[in-house]
Amino acid sequence: MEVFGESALKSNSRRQGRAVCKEETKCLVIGKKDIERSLGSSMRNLLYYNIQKWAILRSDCFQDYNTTELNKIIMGFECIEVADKEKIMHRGLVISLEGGVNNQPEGTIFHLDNWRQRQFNVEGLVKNGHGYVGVLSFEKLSEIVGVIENRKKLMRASQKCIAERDDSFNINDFEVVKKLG
Amino acid sequence: MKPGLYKSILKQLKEIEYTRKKEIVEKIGLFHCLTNKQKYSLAQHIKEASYRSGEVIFEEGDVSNGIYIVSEGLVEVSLSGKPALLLK
Repeated sequence: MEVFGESALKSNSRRQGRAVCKEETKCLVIGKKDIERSLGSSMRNLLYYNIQKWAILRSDCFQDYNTTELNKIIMGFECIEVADKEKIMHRGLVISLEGGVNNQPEGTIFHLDNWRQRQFNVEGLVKNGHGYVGVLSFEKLSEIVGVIENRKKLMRASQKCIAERDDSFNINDFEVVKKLG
Repeated sequence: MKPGLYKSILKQLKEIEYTRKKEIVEKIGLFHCLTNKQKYSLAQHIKEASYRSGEVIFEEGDVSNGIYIVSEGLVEVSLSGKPALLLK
């Protein structure tokens, strides 16, 4: 089950995209006012989660991962408050959640090239305006990715094992079948 | 029919429906950071909507009035006219 239309988490927001059904579709809908009533100040956490999700989805580093795996990465991010013009020296992925970073808008992800090349010495970033950024250290990301990759390997191995077992299956090997002719 | 039986069945059906919605909210990654109380509160407000193939759920520039969870079918989200995501 996938979620869309999360722009409703922002106040006075308008749709940034178009959503069209490609087949007969059923959706569960939660109205903006109901979300506000149910969550109050926690709306911000949801909004940050969503910004992180889109930043990760747009990056080309994690395209082979499914929703559950991506969720593990997103949940690894930590939100930290940064003052205007403060330097961010975090060795890991950084996503601007509120206001810009290095003159880039909200939702920009930094240090992806470092992750790709496994070069973990990062250049400092500068926050534009006071606000929050999401940070995920390369160490923690390596751990999460390691767990995901190991799981994938295990899945592949078990699928291969099942396929081989199916290939070697011969109906004549069964005594009952032999007796029945 | 015994008096009150209709109400009791209706109550049970509502409870089943509420449990189903609660399970859905618990499965959605977006809501993982919420407390159980908040999740249950959200579940109470879930409404269902059906759409035909080709029907537009929302257009770019529309006022954002809610979030959607695909429970059956396929939805294409496009950004600036370009297909960006297929959601199911």
